[in-house]
Amino acid sequence: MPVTPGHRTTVAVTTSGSTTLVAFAQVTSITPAGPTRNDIETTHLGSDAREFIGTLNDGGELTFTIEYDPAAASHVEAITQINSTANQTLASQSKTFRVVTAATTGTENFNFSGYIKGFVPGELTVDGLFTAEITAKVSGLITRTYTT
Amino acid sequence: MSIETAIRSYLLTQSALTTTASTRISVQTRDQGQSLPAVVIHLIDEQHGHYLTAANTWGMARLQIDSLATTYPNAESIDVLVRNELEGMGGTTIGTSSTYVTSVIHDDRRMLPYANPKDASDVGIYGISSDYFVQFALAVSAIST
Repeated sequence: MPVTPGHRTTVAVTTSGSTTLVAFAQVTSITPAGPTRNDIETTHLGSDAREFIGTLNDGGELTFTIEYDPAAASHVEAITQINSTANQTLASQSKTFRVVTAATTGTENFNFSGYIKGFVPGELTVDGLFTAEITAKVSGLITRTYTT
Repeated sequence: MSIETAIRSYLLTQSALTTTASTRISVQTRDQGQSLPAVVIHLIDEQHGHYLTAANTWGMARLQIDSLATTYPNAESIDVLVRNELEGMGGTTIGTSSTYVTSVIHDDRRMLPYANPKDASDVGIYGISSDYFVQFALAVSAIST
């Protein structure tokens, strides 16, 4: 049965003023975004049981951990995006993100628009590395394409 | 060059140590009949880091360095000399293959069992063993895709 190992998964983002996706360097783990819905209760006096409908899909958040390299363009870009205070408009904030997994029988792309909302360094220890957790908020739907 | 041989190469250039131990600094074994004091380096463990798409070129090795002498005070003295040359070393390139060492941390120290003399012509050997945690840069290739 085909499976999708975590090994060789990549995550990329478009940079400011560009539509070109740039893969993040030195990524050690990725938690892809997971859509969820909230519940709106529609129970009325004639209901036999509680009734609900779902709200709009909330794409959730993508988080991934990097081994930080101050010379890596993708790491510098993430810091630039989280620190940007210029033109806080929807257009300037929105970037395209893509997570690509390598299944045993093909590749799968998860694409969404969103923005970087967190760049949190990990604890620096005597026998560890400088790592950081990057969080991206999904805006809109996550689209999936699978290529065999 | 492996990290254990790179560390050996480095220690052989440290005059404060070689004044006492001379070139009797070896990896894994010691020549039969070799005089003392001497230093023997053992590789206990070496781990390599990885990203999701490649090796991260970072190695982490635990080295056990034994300081051997005919008296306990001399074994202690050699152990201190080795520690003075290694602990806190970092951000430097050593060895003939230019191994870049990020850091060296002295992790623990213990007494080795006394080696009794085999006969009247032999000498007993006292030893102090210290473990060092060495972080260094590896030369590795990216994983093929």
